[in-house]
Amino acid sequence: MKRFLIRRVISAIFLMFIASIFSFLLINAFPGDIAPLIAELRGGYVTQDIVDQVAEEYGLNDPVVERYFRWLSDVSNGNLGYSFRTGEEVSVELKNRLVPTLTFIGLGGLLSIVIAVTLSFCGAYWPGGFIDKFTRGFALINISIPKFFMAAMLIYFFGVILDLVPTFGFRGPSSWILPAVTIALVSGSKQSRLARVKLEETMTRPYVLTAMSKGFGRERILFRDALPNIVPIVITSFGMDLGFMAQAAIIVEPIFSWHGIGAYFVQSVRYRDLAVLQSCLLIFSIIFINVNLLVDIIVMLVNPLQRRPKVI
Amino acid sequence: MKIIRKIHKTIGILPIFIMGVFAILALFGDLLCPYDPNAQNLMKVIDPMSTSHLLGTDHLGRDLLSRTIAGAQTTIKAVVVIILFAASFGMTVGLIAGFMGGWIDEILMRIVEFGLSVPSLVVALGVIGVFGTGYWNMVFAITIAWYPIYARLTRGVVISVMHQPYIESLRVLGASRLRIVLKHIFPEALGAIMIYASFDAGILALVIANLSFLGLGVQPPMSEWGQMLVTALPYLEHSPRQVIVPGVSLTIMVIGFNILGERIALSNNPKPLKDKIFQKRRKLFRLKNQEI
Repeated sequence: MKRFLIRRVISAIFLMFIASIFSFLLINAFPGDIAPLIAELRGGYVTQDIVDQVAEEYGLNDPVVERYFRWLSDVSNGNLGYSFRTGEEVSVELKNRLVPTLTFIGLGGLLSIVIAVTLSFCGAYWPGGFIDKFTRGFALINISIPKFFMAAMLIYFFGVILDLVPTFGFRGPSSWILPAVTIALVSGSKQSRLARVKLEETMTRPYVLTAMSKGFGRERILFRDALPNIVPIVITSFGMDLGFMAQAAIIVEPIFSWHGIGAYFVQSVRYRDLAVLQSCLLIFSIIFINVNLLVDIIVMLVNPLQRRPKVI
Repeated sequence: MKIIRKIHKTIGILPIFIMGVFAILALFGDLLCPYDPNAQNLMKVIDPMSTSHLLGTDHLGRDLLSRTIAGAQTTIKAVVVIILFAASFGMTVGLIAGFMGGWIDEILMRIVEFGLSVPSLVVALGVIGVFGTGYWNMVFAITIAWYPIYARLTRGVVISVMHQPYIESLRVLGASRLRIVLKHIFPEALGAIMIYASFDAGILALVIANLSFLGLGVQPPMSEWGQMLVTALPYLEHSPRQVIVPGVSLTIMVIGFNILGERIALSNNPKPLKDKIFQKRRKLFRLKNQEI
């Protein structure tokens, strides 16, 4: 177990190293010279003198390897550089935008667990019946629907027709409902489908048959025998879904005009603000790699089967 | 006849019907459009549904039905092109990694693993941010984001096939490495890849729509559902139809892809004996419940 843990951590560190190379090289793969673009983003008339000055200022004339290590040491000191477009410090801006994104992911995650548990247990409790078919169809539609369409429909029904909740802005709990529900429906349905299949599979195992022949009721078998067996799988899928929700933030935040990290990322792509883009890519990758690491460790603690080293 | 019956039995009528409709739209969409999808008619802005415009018109007086059909064409073509690119690139990487082994395998798989650990939309957005927007840039970006899964799948198949006795005997017979890879390992990998691709197409259609929705994918003169939806969003209150039509079309298409992929994946690994046991147990289980 210890060996597995160490190997997993080393591999995560290596992945983060690749992530830093990737986000650095992506910017340097920029077709043509980067200096005129920065000069242009600063506005005004671009002359050769200004371009040279920009190149000097950003140290663009130095060799790539030297620039990479300079950038890496800057980043590890918490200095992510300055936006090419507005000149603001990127790390300060990211810190300001952290709250909406964390609210989005946290609330969405909680709601998605509720939805996933409800759907999968309703399905598994009455297998083959109307409720089972309904929950399956509902989950299938939810995973197939584009997130932006789901958001638009929720805005239309609950914001425009019923006029219950505010449809845009980050202003108190009532404005958090629609974005969280949007993401929770999609990711909760995804998890419920997985949990449902696994529950059904578990319910056909020999130990369930044994429990049935002992005369235990259905609830007891579902909750005491089947549930512990699907927990590791559901945790893994939930961890993956946290990454998925960060990805969803990129699409959903602009619709509800939240000023979160996702919206910042889209903005940087749209204006080709490479300094911001680079930092966002790095931050996103590091978050995903660490979430994956954490999920693996938790699953290992929960599921004794995973603790044995795999024999290939 | 036998084949048709088998297809019907394994896949079912619903996904075939949905896919058939969209395939016809993609192939003959130009002939089926009642109007030019880009022709504006400012005298007829946001018209309701009528016999001349079956789904009405949008905020610039363009026929909504024609635009939806053109959107289906754009999406299906993009999905096919991206799957071809991503699968061929991913398979090349996977074949090289699996067959060469050693440090080449190690390096390639680390890169692939990084690609898998970061969500595809983030990678695609990063590539678009650097290279700019446009149709082919979008295709390139999604290919970069999409190939890792194909590479890993191919490598898995290659490694499991490589240690089969018949590959050993081919070597003994003096077959060249290239021949073994192309004639014996490649077809095995292709089967697995095609099954996965059928599962993947729905997610791919969603990613294309997401990028277009953000204004970073398919660009305005071409009509695409995500982009139709985002241009109609400001008019949501007055004409929700403009938002609902492209959204529902996309949802139906993705549902079709999802059911298709699911059924193909399920039908691929038949476990007749196990299935029978499962069925028996289910029956027992149900009987018991009725008793309670």
